[in-house]
Amino acid sequence: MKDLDKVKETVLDLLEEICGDDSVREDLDINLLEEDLIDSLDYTELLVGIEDALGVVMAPSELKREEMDTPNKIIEQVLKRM
Amino acid sequence: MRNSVLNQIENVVNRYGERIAIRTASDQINYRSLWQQSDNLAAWLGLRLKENNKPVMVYGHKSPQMIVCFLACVKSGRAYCPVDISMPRTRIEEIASSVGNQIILAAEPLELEGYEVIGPDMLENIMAEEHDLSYVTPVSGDDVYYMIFTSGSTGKPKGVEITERNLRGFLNWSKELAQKTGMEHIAFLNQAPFSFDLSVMDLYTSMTTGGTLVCLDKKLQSDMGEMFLFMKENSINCWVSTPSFAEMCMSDKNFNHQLLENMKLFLFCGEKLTKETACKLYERFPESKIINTYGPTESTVAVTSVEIDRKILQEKELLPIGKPKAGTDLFIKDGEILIAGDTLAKGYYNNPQKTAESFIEIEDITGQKIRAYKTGDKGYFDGEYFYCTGRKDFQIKLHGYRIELGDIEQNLMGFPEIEQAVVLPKTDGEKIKCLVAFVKKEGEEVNAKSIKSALKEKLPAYMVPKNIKFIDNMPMTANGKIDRKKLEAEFT
Repeated sequence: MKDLDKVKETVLDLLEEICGDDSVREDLDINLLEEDLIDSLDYTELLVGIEDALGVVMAPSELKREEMDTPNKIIEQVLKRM
Repeated sequence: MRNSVLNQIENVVNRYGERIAIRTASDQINYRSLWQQSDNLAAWLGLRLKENNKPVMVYGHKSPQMIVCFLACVKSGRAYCPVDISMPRTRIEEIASSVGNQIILAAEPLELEGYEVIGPDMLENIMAEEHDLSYVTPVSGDDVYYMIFTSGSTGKPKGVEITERNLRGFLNWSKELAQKTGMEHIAFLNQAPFSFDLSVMDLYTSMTTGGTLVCLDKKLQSDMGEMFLFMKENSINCWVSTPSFAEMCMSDKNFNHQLLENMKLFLFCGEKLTKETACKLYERFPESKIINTYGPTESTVAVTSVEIDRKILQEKELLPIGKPKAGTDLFIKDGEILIAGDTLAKGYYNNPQKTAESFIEIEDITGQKIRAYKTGDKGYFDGEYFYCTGRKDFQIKLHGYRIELGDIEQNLMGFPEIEQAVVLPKTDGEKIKCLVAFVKKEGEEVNAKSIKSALKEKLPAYMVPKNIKFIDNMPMTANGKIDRKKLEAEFT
């Protein structure tokens, strides 16, 4: 549970910063791609941020976009690798 | 004309007709078909447009058909103006209106009221059918070859006119750079959309040297796994991109010389190459060469270059932009970089005032009067290399895209709910990360989301600020101007 809280907070902080929009906090199932909140460069920034903050390495080339298109899915992918 | 750009491509066609000229994830075309299809379309354009010699807008994305359209336009004696599908509708309409030609070639579906759009299906039919070529005279010498629109500070994009002679001057040099791969058949990476003049470096250097252009379309660029696989399968050996794109690839541990075994040369253009990026790249690709180039669209893609070797990386804090190519001179006047030489654009399309402001007459070291372009870039010369240290004005480069902050501000203030707007870049060390807009609004109805979505209809996505911050009062200087420095210090 502790892990979940930490990951959730880190991911949401990063997403809020990267997307420049707090709607990522309000709706954890918001589709970041369809809502045009994130692009390829942003994804890179997000994954680098996750690595720096949580020590979890995620290679963009090993992830499908549909596995990472909502805040909840991103949190799930990080937790899987912890 | 012997040795014209088209002649150079024709020589390649005669020598390597069956070689693949353009490859995308879903399509490819060899040199023979590229030439034949563009002949057919050129002849059709000649018959259809008759005396109408205005430039032709070519709309589309990464496809062989797009390149066939480019060649067809110039073979028929008309400049082309590439417009990528990522452009929002309002910009497409503005560009179509500025170009002023009723005919538009569209390699991707496009509906535009008031124009005759020749869509993909019709283009395919025309390209397949032989027509009489004797009616057309190709673009040559001082005729405009292509026209690329860049962001303008007044909120309207401006069309830079590049002549056939300009392009030839550029290619004489870019072909020398590409030779550093040591390869006879080079696979060039095309990352930039064709509406961004960085793509001229890979497209035309490839077509005039018998290379294969390996194009990354929008879909591929959104899936790094697929994109890496495509690069690997096509044995890329000459990388052409902005530094930002390489940085994005390097965020993935799989991007290294084991993935791209044949990578010989990285050619960078479009924005500042940092020492950090170059060092990281050498760690991933110890056997490859890195070349940094510099130049604005107005001087045909790029005019200076330097190989960033280990010695430069050890000795320099700021990476140089290098030395000018043959035929180009650089001057530093009042701290600003001025460019003179054979690749200076004709000017801005239908905009003599802006042309006169930016292309001026100066004296060279012998006292002779020459034409020079005021880049607006600040720079210096250390006796060996030139350096670029930033901008004199409010133009910035974000991921290689040239953006006039005034362009975004004017578009923001075009909304009735917005009284004042200032856009500033947010930086992280040497890099510009994103844009932030400071907005003084009238009324309560607008929010960040509604502003961003309205702006997306008017401007390309890369010009839409990531953050919209609302403020009650803009800080002012003693002269009554908005105090951008204070705003920056307080908020970014």
